[in-house]
Amino acid sequence: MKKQRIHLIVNGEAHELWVEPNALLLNVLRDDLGLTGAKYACGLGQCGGCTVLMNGEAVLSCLVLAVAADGAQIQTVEGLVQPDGSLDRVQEAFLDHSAIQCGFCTPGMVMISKDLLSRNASPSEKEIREHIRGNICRCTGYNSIVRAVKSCAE
Amino acid sequence: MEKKDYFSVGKPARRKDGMAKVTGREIYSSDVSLPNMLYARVLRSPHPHAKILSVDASEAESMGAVCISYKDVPKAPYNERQVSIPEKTYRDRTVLPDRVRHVGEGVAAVAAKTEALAERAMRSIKVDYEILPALFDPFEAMKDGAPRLYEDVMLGEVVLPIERNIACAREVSEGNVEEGFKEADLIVEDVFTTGRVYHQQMETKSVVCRPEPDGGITVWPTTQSIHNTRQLLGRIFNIPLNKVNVHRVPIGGAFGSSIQMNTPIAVSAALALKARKPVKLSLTREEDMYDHCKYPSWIRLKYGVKKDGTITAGQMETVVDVGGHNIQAYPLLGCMAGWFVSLYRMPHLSVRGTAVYTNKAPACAMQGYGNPQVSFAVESMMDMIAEKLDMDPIALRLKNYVGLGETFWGQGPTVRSIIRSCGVEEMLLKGKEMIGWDQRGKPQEKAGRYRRGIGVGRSFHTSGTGAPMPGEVIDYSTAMVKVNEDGSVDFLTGLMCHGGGTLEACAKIVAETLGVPLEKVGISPSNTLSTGYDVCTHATRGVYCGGAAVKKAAESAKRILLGFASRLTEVNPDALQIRPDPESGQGVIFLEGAAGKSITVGETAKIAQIKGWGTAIAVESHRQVNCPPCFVTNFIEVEVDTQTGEVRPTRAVAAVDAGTVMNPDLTAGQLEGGLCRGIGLALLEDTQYDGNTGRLTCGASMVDYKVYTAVDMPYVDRVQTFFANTYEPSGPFGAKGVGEAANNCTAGTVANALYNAVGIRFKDAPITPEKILKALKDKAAGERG
Amino acid sequence: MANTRILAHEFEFIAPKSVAEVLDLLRRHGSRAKLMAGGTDLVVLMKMEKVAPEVIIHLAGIKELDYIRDEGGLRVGAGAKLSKIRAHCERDKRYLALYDAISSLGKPQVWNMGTMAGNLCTASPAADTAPPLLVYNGRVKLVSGSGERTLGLDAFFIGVNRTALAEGELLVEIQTDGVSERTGSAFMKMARVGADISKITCAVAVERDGSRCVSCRIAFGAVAPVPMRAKAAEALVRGAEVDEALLEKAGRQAAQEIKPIDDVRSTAEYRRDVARTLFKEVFSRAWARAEGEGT
Repeated sequence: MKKQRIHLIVNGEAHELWVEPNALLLNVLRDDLGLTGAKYACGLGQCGGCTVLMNGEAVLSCLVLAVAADGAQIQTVEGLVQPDGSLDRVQEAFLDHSAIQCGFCTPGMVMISKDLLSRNASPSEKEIREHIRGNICRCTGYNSIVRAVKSCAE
Repeated sequence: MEKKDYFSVGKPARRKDGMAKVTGREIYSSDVSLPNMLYARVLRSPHPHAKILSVDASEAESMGAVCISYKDVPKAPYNERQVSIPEKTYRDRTVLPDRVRHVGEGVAAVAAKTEALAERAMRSIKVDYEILPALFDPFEAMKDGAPRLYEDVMLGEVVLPIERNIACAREVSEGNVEEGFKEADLIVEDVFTTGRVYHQQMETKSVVCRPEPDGGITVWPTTQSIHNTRQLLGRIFNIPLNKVNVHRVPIGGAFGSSIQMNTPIAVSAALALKARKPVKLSLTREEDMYDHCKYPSWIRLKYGVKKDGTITAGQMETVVDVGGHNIQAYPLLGCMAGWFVSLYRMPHLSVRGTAVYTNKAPACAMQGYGNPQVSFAVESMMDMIAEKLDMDPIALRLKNYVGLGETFWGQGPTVRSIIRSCGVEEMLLKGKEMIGWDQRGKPQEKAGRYRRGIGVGRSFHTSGTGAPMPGEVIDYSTAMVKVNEDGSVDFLTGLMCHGGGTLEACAKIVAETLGVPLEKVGISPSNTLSTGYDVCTHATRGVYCGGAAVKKAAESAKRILLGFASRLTEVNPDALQIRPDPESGQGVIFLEGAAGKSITVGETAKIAQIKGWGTAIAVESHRQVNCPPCFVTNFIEVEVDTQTGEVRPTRAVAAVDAGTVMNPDLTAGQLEGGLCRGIGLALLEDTQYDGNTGRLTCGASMVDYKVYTAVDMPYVDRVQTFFANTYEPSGPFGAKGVGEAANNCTAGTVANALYNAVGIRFKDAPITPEKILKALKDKAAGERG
Repeated sequence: MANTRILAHEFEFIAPKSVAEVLDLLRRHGSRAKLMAGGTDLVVLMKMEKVAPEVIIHLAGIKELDYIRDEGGLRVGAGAKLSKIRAHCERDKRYLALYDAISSLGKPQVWNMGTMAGNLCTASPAADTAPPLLVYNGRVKLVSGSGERTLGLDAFFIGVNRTALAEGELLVEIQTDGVSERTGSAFMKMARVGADISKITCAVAVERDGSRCVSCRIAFGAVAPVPMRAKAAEALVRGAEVDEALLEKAGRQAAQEIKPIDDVRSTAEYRRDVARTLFKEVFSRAWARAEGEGT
């Protein structure tokens, strides 16, 4: 396979990359750009652990061909930190509500929560649970995560 | 003993690893990347049982991959779990086998520059198998004439012949069970089963292994025990322990699945040593699902009770299907006896457990280690007995539970102690009010399509496996505490955090002991070169055992520090105290009532450094001499849709008696997580095998192995958690454990709630809507007919 | 065992900008090529090694396919994402069965990635958007180098994961009938957990005149090789006074029409048992919506 040149703007930074057509966005982020926040936990779009924002919308990066993301703006959990080091309010909320145990689902959970709040600034608990239903957490039973997101509602 | 008001212990705080986790910068094993690293892939058996006649990796090698198979690796069998003493360790595993015993067992492995290349190389390997007959049912496996999965295994240094595929068996009895049953007014007997649940820890088992120039290795594995991993690798590959450095790496969930050294680890070490380059081996989810699972259970339970509810005798027989390898079945059988014996008082008892090999993924501990399974059976039966005696289920439990002042042998017959803290009664009585127990109604009173029922369940777990004398399992921890020259403190231990906050609790213990603000305490990164032995973070021992070692080291470091302070203040060290000082932001050493006799911890340490007095640093190994029970109680309300059999958990109350609760926020989170997983065990989760191919019918992926999502669980204000007000004298600051307790009684509680809703006793988990609807139909037909 | 972390399979990736280009590519590459919209089905199938196209034709960049219009019924371009369709139906309020279906399909990430066209072309028996489209008398417009044709959805699905798409043909538009003021529709699914492939689904569109059913379409998913209409059940309801007894009868009829199997998710017996209950619930919701009640 011939490598193709793509451009990705990841967390505000432009990258020119040469990737094979079968390269997955998740692996490009993790292996080529060292952004290991997004995780492989199922590879088939079942767990939400690979969730990143692509052009402002939550997607499952384990199912996105990197070549199909050419030209896209990608935001990962690493990109939520402000230049001065301060955290996004969703991240603060997760910390305040002890919504993190092993932490493996956390990047995906944070990004899907960002996706929700960008569409609906005052989600109800029902809406929160519906929106994060594709993100599996094996540790918390979800309650602390729901409380964290609820606290970000206006 | 009175509970004190602590400034750090028991106070919620942001977890110290939280920043890294919430910003995606926490590096798990599967995230580790090293220069010149190769990627490994394992060729896995498509057959459930076969001899490997030959492995031809020539094409893979011609692609530039480094390859290994049985002939290239050490052949001595081992048990990947090193918690049991050598004499009690069953050894049937090799780095790579010459005979495979389940679909998905690794046969050969390659390492190459990219994962894609490794994949191609792996697929080019040709294996000649001699297919052998396979077994998928433990009862079939025990029959005379059944194919033999093993001729023999090693038990310690003894060759142990394997008969009828029985991996191991145990019997325990006290008194005379037949006499006990004769004394009874009522005998209740039934059989309960739970499924072959998969841990589905979110991070698949992973490792990076780097060979060192001096012949040693450095390892970044998913593990619950860096020291056991080190010892085993050192022994397998004949490397001195001081050249085997296993790093503690944050783990993406464990639930018991990494107590044993996971299968990729030895494979990656073998590849790394051959390739002379770092090798990364991270399982795919599918491989992980064939790698390990929870022990399923078949339990026949029999109780004799008097009319007034007093238990006279109890008998448990269990058959455990361990799959293709015996990882920890022998101690499991002992523990299952211990759980059974310690739930309710039985003057006469007998337990018989048999572990059986089959050609399935090897089972290993998963949160509770037989306790959720035993408690499912016992708690169901308590309700069955209560109904027959027309007694309140809570009253029956209160009458018979093993509690304060009684002898308890939770971890098995060789470890007995007296219970010195117990919140069982408090949790039952408070919980029943919170859930509205008295308004739950009787099943026969319920009507309509949607029926609600409330169930109760209780259990416990041992806080570790400590004992006054050496026993069948090893249990101690080593910790180091040192005071830095600015008043900050480092503590170092081989303990792991699986997410529940073990290390956060230890930090609080250090802070509380030393009298410094929690912000000043840092969790040092740890590895096996720099730490003394810690057996494993398992068995709910992290805080009670590991934390006790940390406390001991902190106390020793404190003595040294106060010795320095004494020199500076001329106050006798026994009269000096330390407390956190908000103004200076660190600990201040002071003499009560004497204004001029105070000095900060930082100043003291700094002066001691400059004057060459030394560092306030201490290392302690510590073994707890018992393993007190941390009790748990659940009340769960379910709603059953009698037209579809679907069950919704609507409300829950979960309580734990953990003595002093170190991290109240995280402990509440553990109770909530335990509810979710326990309800999953009761209603949803199982893996089954195709009897012809030996493959998982769910396809081994998360497409069809389901766990509950956020929409399946009750709303946050419908779940209440609380802690019993107890203090364990033998625990650090009165603490016991939480970990496994959080999950142990949930499945039984759900079964009881279902009974209260629809009047049907379900004894085979998972209790799916298909099973419920069928049972409802049968019941209705029976009532009509 | 497939490696789900990487795509082991190699292929050529082409991103055309127009329908004409797509047709030309399809003509040139024939069965060597597969179309990809969001990739949520195709990439999964490739990872599981169930398909191995040599060429992937990426449709996401084709602006002319990205539209939702109403011309006496929905006209949804093949490039319209599920999220966009869902938002449209939520605002419009006449195609709530489709809104229900997308809302319970997968997870929000999949709505952002996937298209309804893709959902139909994968043709899983459990395709969640199919039952609602069936009850709206859904059709698909297919174009190829030699022209175009429109097929009813019932003719489009021909078997498990099989459609009537000929080689060289591209689905460009999904169409429905219009719905009258007095029509209400709904969809519900039953699954093991909150985000899951369906055990059984049901969609109903009913036109109501007081207590009388004027017309009705009933569709089921995941209980036959293809998404199907329950026509005998429809015949019972059409023109009748709607009451509990009628719905019970129609539900029993529907349960006989479906052809469920045992699979990893559920059993044929269970699916038959619950089909009646599911139908009654979906019908009741659609019925209420026809009068402007409920959501």
